[in-house]
Amino acid sequence: MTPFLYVMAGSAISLALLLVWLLGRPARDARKPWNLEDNVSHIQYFPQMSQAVSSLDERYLRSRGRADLARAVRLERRRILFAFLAALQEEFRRLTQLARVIASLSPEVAPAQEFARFRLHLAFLYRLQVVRAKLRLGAQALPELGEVSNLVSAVRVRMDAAMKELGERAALAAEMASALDRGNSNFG
Amino acid sequence: MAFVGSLGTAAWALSIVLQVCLFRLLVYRRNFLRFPVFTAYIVAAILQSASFVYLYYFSHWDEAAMSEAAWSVQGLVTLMRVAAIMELCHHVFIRYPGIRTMIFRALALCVLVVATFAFAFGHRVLSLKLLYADRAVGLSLASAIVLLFLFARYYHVQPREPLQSMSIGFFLYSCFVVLNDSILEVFISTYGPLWNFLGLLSFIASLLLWCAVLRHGYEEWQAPPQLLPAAIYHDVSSEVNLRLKLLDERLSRFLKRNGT
Repeated sequence: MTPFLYVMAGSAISLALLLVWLLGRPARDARKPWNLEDNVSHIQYFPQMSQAVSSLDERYLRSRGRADLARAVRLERRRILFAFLAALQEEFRRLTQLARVIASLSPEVAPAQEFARFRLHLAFLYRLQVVRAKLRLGAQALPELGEVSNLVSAVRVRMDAAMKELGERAALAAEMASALDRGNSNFG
Repeated sequence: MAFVGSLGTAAWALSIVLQVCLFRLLVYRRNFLRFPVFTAYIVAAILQSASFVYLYYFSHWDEAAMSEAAWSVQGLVTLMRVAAIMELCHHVFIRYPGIRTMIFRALALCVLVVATFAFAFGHRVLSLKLLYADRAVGLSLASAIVLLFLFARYYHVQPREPLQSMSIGFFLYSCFVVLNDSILEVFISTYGPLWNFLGLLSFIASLLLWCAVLRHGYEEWQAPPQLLPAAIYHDVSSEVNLRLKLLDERLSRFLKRNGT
């Protein structure tokens, strides 16, 4: 037996396993279906999140001798903060998914941009996990959370504008096609 | 391994019968109109079998000449296989001209890189170069098919039947070629007859799959979807990328500040 035999056999088996995974039905998406016209963004909850990570309330409770209550409040707020992060991630996932759909429906795409988006998306997910880990360890990441929220918000605004533009152009194209049809029938 | 000889002859006969059946199905169900290259590949495989029958039963060539002729024919059939897989890729993304061009380039690059990698390594025994080439093509085609399904999943494109099953047939055969050739390289003196037999069995499995999926006629695919103006893609894509980059940078800064 040679090492190269193992490499080849391993490659073939890995490819087969990857194909099995790709052909498997994606896990049923139990999340709420995304409606493009639904303009509710998780950014609106940012003031509450600011309150959630503030240590003032906790210090006050401790100073009043209510350490158990302070701990319970901290745990509950931490849970809410993680839920907020998950919601931000979901919002971002949907926006990038929309970008992929737009790419698939475009007459031409820029491979460099597609690759860059894929790479950056992976990097974003990785760093988000690190932020979560740091929060679990007790770090206060409030300013950065604000930046993250602003970025997601900006992407959403731009995508909404693009969808609006898309709708207008689609209506215009339909109108033009209809006008052309009328013209043809007149000449026919 | 005497049993392999008689079983091998039976498997060979069965594969010829299945190839003819598949060709008949392609013509009868009019699928040859949609898959002309795949049909040409099956015709090439039938002609290859016929040439092998001539070489081994009717020609009076010496063994070396027969081996060279057999590998030459195999090379041509392999080229047809590559073309047939490219035809399947074309059909999977036929409704999406923008990403199709990009995916074609990525697949071509993948085939080149993987084939070079697979061919470059090995024992470098000169007499096994054809085997290395066969294995390199097998591995690169298997990788290309997996990459095709990866792209399809990423862009939410569902490969319709019979494209999915046809691709799986090619994948199984290519993957098995890699394993079979790798084992043959190590046990070249004893594995030869079994190598031939197992190779035939994997081809028969692919033929059965193709026969099963192509026994139906398939309706013409619908017209391509209405494509968006190119400007929308350029606006949205560059904006999303810019924001992702900024986000990544700021998260990175945050992590550094916290000493990670």
